[in-house]
Amino acid sequence: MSSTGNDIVALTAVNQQRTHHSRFYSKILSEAERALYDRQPPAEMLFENFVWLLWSVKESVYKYLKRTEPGLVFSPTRIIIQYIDAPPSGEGLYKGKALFGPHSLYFQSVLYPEFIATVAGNNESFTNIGWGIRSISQSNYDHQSSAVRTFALDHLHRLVPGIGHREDLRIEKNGQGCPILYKGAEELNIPLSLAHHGHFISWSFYFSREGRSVIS
Amino acid sequence: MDRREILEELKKVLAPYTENKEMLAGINEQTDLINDLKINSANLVDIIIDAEAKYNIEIDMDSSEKMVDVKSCIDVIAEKMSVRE
Repeated sequence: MSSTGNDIVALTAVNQQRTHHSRFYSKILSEAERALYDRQPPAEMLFENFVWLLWSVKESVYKYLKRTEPGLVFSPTRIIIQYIDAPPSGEGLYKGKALFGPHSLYFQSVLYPEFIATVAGNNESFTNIGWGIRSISQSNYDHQSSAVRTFALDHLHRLVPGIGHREDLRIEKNGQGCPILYKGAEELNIPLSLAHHGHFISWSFYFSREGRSVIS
Repeated sequence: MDRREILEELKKVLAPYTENKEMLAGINEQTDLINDLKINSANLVDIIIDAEAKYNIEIDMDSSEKMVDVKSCIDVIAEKMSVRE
């Protein structure tokens, strides 16, 4: 079954100083991932950005798998980043592969001074994944939650042919916390992932035709 | 420290990471950190680090992945405190 998972980290909303403490990052990175940074930091990336990049990858992988394995618990150090390819100039998509038990997933990430965002999928091409990121004016939970749903539905309505009227679409979370897309009373088979942190929101979804990335 | 006392201290650990102070004041063992208190997952490691400092314990990976609701947090903290004693 196809799925999708995405995550966003607002770098202004995390404790950068604390991120440097081994007591903190050792709960996110494996020893091998720590060594990966020491050996070859991707595109001269700051260590705190490396930690949060890997966090966003691991959270995205967890969200991807949670949809099909409802009992899964998030354990960052059990998700292993096999490799990360940095964009040549340091600007653009970071690409890589993550492993969790028998699962191998690919990821794409962007890193800006204000945020890091990642989307995970089971195919290296990401042609069937839609992905959107934007900033919002308020960072309280209710606004984040409402804004990310509106943002996702507006783009789903535009990007998926025949999905129906915008006003008939809505998103509700199931018992496991996974967002489910509905058209009226009908549950649509379009796996969807939502994320929000600080002043940033993002969504990703899987659909069976060529997708696009959208950053607005 | 009994479970009720651990719970009262846990409220102080969770306070910086939830906007919903009213719900925090009334939490019980069934309260879920993400779904009920709306704590962002990016703060889960902060909570574990703060709990380690608050209760003078060390929380390993196997224990930290259980800490998704108040009951499991108290279970882990009580267990680690009993080992320490």
